[in-house]
Amino acid sequence: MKNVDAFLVIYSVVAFSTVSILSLFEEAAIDVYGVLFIVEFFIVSELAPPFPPKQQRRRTLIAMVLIVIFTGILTRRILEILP
Amino acid sequence: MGQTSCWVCGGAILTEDGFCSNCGTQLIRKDEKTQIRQPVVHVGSRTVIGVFLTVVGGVVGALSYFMGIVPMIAFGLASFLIGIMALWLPDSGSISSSLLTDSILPSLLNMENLLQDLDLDERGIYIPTSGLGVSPKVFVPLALTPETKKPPVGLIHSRRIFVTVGRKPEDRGILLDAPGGEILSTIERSLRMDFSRIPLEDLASHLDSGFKSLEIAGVSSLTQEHGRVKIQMELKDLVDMESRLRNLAPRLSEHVGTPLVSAVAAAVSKSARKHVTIRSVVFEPRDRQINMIFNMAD
Repeated sequence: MKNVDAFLVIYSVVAFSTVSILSLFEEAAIDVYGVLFIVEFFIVSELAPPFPPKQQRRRTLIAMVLIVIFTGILTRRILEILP
Repeated sequence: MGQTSCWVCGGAILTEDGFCSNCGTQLIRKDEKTQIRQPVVHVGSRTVIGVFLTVVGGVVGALSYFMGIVPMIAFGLASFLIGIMALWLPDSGSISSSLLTDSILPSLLNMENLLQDLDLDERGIYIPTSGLGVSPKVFVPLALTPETKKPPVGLIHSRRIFVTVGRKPEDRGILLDAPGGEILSTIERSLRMDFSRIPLEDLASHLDSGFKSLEIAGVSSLTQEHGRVKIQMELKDLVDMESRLRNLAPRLSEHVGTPLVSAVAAAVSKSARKHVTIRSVVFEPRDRQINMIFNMAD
């Protein structure tokens, strides 16, 4: 199995497991799912075998997009907490 | 309009047409990006799965959003995300290892014949260098003399094949680009790491990561004792090439190293900043393992 395929398989298992587990707890905030998907992406990226250079660059782009989304969710939550 | 000189004949060339007006050599600079159009995705099983997951994720996510079912929205989001990744992350585009072997073999056989014709029985000495993507060169001496045992580091910039490092006639040898030089260069660039700046103790983990990213091998262990470095590797690919090279080019494999062994020797030379020679290389095709021992000059 190629490194990219291994990454996708591991990430799929982790992401769908998260959906299953959180649905058991009747989690109602989509933000929580989103943040967990993003965190899992970075964890799996570190644990999975390293990518060849070209694929690594594309994964970095995905990571940057996810960081922007993560920052957006975080900012929204902080604004909700602040008086 | 830019102008430069041909590195074959030295004549003036125009960079626009890319051909030397004197000798007609086509000149494609290494730093120029090729303008070959590549498809965003290849139609393969991963593409089919990617399209399926993206569409299913989008539809399920949108419908669930209107119905207000959060777990199903999350399921759709996860499917969509994985589908996009499957489509966006390209196939590595690797050629089959047999085709690679067939392509590389003739040039290595030429080196083997050169070593044989010149009757060079001494082992190649990897000359240390530094710089990201810069690979050591190999000096194969005619005879071992005090001068040829440690050829000058400045030889790395030489473009000659037949070089003399001392005053005596026997202080000669041939200077080769390391067969695994480009592999090492690719690894360094992918890791964005100059191996001459990392200690030898940390080399194993970086080499392991680099070879794994190229999907060809993994470094199992690296030990260092009494000026010798022992490295054990496990091949994922290129088993056929290693086997064939040992049979067809034994002198090259033994004295200079196959591309894979040469890349490791070059990495050791860079990291240790010492002249390195191959002491022994044992390849076990059944276990896909290579055990290498390198000597480092004092």
